Amino acid sequence: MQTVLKLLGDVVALIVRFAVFLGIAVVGGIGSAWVMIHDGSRVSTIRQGPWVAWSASGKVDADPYTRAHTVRLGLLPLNPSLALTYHARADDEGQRLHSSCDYLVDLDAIDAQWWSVAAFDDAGRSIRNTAQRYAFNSATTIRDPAGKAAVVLARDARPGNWLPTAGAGNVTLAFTVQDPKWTEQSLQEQSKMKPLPTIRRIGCP
Amino acid sequence: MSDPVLTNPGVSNPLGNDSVTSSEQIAADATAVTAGGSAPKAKPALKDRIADLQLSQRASAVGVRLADRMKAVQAAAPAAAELAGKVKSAAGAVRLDKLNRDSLKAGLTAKVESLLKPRAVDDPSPPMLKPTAEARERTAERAAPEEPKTRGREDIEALKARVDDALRVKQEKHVQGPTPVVAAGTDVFAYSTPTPEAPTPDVSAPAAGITSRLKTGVSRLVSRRPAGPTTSDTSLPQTTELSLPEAAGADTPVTAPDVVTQRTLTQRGMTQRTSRTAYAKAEARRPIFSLGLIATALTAGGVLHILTTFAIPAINTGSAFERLRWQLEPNVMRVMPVDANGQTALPFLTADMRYAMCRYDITNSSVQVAATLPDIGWSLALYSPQGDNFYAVPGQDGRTVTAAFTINAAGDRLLLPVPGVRRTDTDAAQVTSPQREGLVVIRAPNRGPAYLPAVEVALKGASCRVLPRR
Repeated sequence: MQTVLKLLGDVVALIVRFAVFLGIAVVGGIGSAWVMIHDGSRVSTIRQGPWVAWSASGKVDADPYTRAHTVRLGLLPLNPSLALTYHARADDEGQRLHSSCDYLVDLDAIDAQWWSVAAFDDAGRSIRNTAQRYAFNSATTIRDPAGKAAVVLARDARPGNWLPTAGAGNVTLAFTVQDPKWTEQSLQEQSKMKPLPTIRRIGCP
Repeated sequence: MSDPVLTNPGVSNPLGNDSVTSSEQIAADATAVTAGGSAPKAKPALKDRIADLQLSQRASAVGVRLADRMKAVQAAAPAAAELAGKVKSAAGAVRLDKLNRDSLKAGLTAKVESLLKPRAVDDPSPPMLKPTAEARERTAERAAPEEPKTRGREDIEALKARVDDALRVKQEKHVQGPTPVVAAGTDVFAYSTPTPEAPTPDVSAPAAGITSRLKTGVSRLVSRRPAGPTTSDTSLPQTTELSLPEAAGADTPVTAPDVVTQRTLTQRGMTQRTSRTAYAKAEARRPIFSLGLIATALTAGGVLHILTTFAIPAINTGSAFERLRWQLEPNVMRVMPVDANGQTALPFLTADMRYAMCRYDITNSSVQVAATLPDIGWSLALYSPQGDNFYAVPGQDGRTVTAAFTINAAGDRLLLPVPGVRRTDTDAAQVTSPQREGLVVIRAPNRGPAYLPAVEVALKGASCRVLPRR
């Protein structure tokens, strides 16, 4: 009986050790790889507020995490020397962007030649809406009399540049800049990065 | 003729032995001496014979004692062997780490066997009873004594002196009290007289010595100490800790086999209990999450991390090229349809743009691409199957950019002089593709419904065709 109990204890200990081994190996290995590929790190991304851009996305000599990120999501990014795309999943306060809330995206500080703001759901699909509004760019954005540009994300119609988000759940904003000088300056020095749009929560009615 | 010795009251038999055989032999010797020599010489001869008789009687007594001891030792040998076997099994049961266990088992087994073989079985004589060289010589003299007839005068004088010495010693002992019959601790063969302070030897001394050595080995096994030099009898204090009968102060005499058996049982139980306790303690001390396990898991995790990172681009099943492979014919430019719900062919493709795409394949021939980029925001880009943008032409603000080039495979430029190969002698620029397949993507910003027809016309004007061979 004592031998059986001892054998049982050994088996349990072996299982526990194996589980710990698998936990560390799988969760630590694959999990950390997933985080590095999905969310990025300082190695492969540049961050400014809630905006994250893969600095080597689209480059031939991109780092493995960037290449894996590009392949896994099925992206076709332009070379960062030509264009740069930022993604934001949260507002300026760090709260997750959600279709149940209204947000104001202030684009007044953007001085790039061409830019675009688009709203997607969590899977990267355009948010369906009857108004067929999916994005605004530097040519389609309506500016106020003072020359300021802003886009409102809301479920219901808003005056001005309104992007419908109803039914999307989690929302991801994509901000693309196509301006070699602008992107070059943003990529080279952190302190000289160009200002990006601010995302302010208006409310969650 | 009357025996002068027996009738003389001044001459007494030192040993008090009145056996007929001895008297007759003495009388016969006296007759022989008388017949062979003069009458005055008969008295020394008789004394000599008496001394010889005393010696032989003492030797026989010692022999009896030795036989008893041999029996005791031989009786103790099986029990000692059994104890050794149980010690071996106990050593096997003790689950120590391999190095200590092997060294302990080997050392203990060798020690037990070395103790058993020469002392208990092969050589029954304990070391304290081994005769000295002088004693062996004298024993040999007694075993084959020379006949008195053949002795010379010197021999007779020497025997006389020895008999005198023996008589004197006996008289002294007689005055002091009864003499121990046998003093095993002394050299009886050398006629050495045991001193009153000499300890009386125990019959079970050999077995006790073996047992004590076994105890030493067992105590080492239990205490997990590595085998070291044997302390033999100095380990006797350890035996008192084993609650043996004599150690507990029992007055009952214990024979050697009983001692061995009881000690064996006691030690076996203690060994098992102690081994179980040591094993339980070792198991309790062994951590489930050892440093080696964590280090190995971290290493495996690192390997998995690297493999995962490099495997995703290599597997390449979810890339944009694979998603578009079946929607696009090779080497044909296609304007991607507009979904009413704004859905695009790929994730995070902004719906405020129109796209024209071509999946080029330069396996058999080069591919010529031509497009017009009328405004800023327009772009033409070449992608590898992994999504690397290895070539791009941006639109310019306020002027139209015409992009026309040939996509060649790497190394095709060296085949220019060779006839029959793919053509590269065009006026268009040449772009070397890192792989045989890839994507051409033209982006056209949608500036509003009013601009959409012009955008579509520009996109439909883009071309992607195979360059014919020369």
